Amino acid sequence: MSIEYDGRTGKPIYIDEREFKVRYRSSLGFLEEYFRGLEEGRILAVRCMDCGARYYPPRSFCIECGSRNIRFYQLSDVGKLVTYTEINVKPQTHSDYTDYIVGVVEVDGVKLVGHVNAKFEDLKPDIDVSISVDRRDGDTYYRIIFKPLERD
Amino acid sequence: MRVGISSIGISRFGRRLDTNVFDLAYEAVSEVFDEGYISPEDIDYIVFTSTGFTPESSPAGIYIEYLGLNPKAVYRVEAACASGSAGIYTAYNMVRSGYADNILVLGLEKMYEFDTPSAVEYLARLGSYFWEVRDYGITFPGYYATFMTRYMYEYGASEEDFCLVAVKNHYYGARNPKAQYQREITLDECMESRYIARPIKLYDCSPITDGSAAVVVSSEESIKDYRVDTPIWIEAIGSASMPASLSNRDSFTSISSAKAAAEYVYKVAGIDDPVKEIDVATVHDCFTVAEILAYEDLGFAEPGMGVKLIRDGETYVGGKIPVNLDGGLKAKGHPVGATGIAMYVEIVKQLRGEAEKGRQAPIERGVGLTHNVGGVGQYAYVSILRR
Ligand SMILES: [Zn+2]
Repeated sequence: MSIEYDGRTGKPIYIDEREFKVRYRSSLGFLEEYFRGLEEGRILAVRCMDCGARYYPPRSFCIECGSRNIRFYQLSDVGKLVTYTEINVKPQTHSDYTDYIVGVVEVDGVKLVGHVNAKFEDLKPDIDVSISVDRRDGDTYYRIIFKPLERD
Repeated sequence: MRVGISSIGISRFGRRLDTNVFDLAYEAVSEVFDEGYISPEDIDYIVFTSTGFTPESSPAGIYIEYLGLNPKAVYRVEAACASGSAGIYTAYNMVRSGYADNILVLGLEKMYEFDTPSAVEYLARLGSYFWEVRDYGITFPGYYATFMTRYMYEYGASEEDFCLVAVKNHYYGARNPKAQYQREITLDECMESRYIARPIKLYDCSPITDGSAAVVVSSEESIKDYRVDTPIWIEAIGSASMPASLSNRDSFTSISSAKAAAEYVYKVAGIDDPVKEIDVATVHDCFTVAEILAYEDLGFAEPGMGVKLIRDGETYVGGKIPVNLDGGLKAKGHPVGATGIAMYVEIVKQLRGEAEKGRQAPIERGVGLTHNVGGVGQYAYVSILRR
């Protein structure tokens, strides 16, 4: 055990050096097809084959009509930026990255969340963006990427 | 049968390195019993609210042991930043159903026990971890920033407009001896602060806070028996949910759950014109944009006109509807699981006329409101209290 005295206030603090780490192992079940799709560069949403409702993130049953007759479909590669934010103070698990922009993009009747490759100042809601999948350098995680479309 | 608040207690909020977490809980609870109405033996049940900034996985039992409240029954209620209101809601329903006469609701969070990156991570995970936090690293301020970006675009608001909320809430924090930040700030200070989740800046954010708050929810009979001087009645509590995930939101300019909760309580309490009929309100300003959205969701302003309310100073004492006269989450502090209870403590003080000089609202109708949003909107509670 070690008692430290706070630099600002001089108050005594017990420093617990032991670390408690958790690594989550998330079962995918029905979502395997979605994550396989991402690995292959395809972004999948789902459609209810009975009433036509569309969902992203994918779900295994329809909350509009109750049907379990659900199919994956591939989204198109252009959408509209609804809103966005640049993450400057990062969570522990993302602290090694430089500032990144998280955006919400509307495409084919659903909304995707992904990273926006652009300068913050160049963005505005409602602009058109391209949609793709990549991995950051040295990363094993696939992610959805949006880029503003050049306009003539 | 009416249900009311018979006693209140609140710790000093802040970076409370001067006290251990157990005594931080005692600060609020001792104030409750010092009011002189309810004694520990009169308590039928305890509801504990926190979100997990304690090293224990199941804190409720540990804390009431220290408080000397064994063998009273206890459990924990969790609804992110609305945990406190959710706890009061369960207590209210237990008393209303005749099951209990006096329930202690205690909220506690000692967030400075986490280092900052861990706290940012923990708070981010109040959102949709599987789809949004894990792979995209969105943070809690990031979630609210998506509202601010869209709001500014749709209604032509500026970053200054939001900083006006911070200036107001610091003005009142400076007059609240329990507040984390008891100092006023200028608009420039806010505007010059660094980005946390652009366009949200440091001074748009409520801080990390250590604090506790407690109330006793009592039956009408009990309030009469104990001769509570100024009983404050819970007239209605409304609650609703909405999707936490950005993908499933219909709107980025309104918290639909809070709007639904407000509509419900206005109906039950017979309130037609909230601005005229409510004397004072506390709203969930975890970020300045959240206070603006609250003005609109609560019907204090039309959609897009919330910024005008703050520009015109209408939410100060003397304005149309004074809001967050305790400094709000912004300046009083936001110990997540205790916040909803702290809001009740504040409205009870206001309706009793016990708020400090310079931050007491004129009480004409005897009606107060609390608005407490959990996570990124997936929990919302609105309450109407009446003297
Ligand atoms: Zn369907």
